[in-house]
Amino acid sequence: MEANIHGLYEKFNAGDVIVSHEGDMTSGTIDNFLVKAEDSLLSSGENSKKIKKIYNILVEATQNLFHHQATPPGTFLKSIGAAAGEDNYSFCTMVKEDGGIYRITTGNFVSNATAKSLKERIEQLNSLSHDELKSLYKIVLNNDEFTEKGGGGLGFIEMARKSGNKFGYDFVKYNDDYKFFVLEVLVS
Amino acid sequence: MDSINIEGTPKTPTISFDAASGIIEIKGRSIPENSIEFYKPLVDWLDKFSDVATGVVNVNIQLEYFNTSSSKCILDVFKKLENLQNKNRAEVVINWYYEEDDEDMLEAGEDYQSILKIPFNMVEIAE
Repeated sequence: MEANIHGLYEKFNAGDVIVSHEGDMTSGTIDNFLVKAEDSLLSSGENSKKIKKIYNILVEATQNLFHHQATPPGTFLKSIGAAAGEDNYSFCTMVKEDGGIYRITTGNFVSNATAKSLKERIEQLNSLSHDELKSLYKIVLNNDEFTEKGGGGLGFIEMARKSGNKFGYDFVKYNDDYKFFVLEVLVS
Repeated sequence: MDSINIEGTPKTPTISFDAASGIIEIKGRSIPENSIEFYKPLVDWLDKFSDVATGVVNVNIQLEYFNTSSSKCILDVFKKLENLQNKNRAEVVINWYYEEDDEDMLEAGEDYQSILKIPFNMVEIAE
């Protein structure tokens, strides 16, 4: 049986939801998502330093989805009743938890090969200290390389630095070719 | 040499590159999905500017937010300015502005400072 992706979204998008999106992550979607997030955080009276960290993470998280979302299987799009022209699916949600902790969760389809390299990358970053992340950031910043999607390969490092917490992650098997990648970033 | 003036948007910064006065400014938010597209003309302009620049080149960077895609492009801008300083008599000064208590933006400036061989002034702005 194929995994229930919408159910997964509902599981994470519960409680004190600050901002959320499910479906195609376009440039316009990112704009709306970020405006809504910033407005909510500013009107909540949250500490400005924390708002900046959260905003930075949301920018990287949504742009990661924009650049790297793998086109999901057609059967999946049919099952969620996606409109014509909507050929991608991902989600991003931010929930405020007890103790003023913000939990940002993203979900997107990845190929099995991507899942393997992503898992290694996340585990490597989770093993690094704050100072080691800073050093790695500077090395990658200065390596003159852009990834094929125009990113600098810095997004995950930046999220780790801004979060100060370890990434939570899961790769849920969707079918033989795809996994659904769930990433959790905490700001405390 | 023509100057470049670009008005800021919620995703791209205000740009003011003035060859005559030697003042180069990037201000606001730099969070476009594709930063190379935005920064390419600026980097090209600096290439040409490096042949004519004299005296002091004042560079004012006052960013509220920038994404990691922009961070490499901003480094490219700084590297062009470093070349400019190396190849002629112009003196380059970078003023990196950050809001009071925004330690992350101060640290971002220090990250660039440690990679480059041009003087940085870290300038705190009171909120």
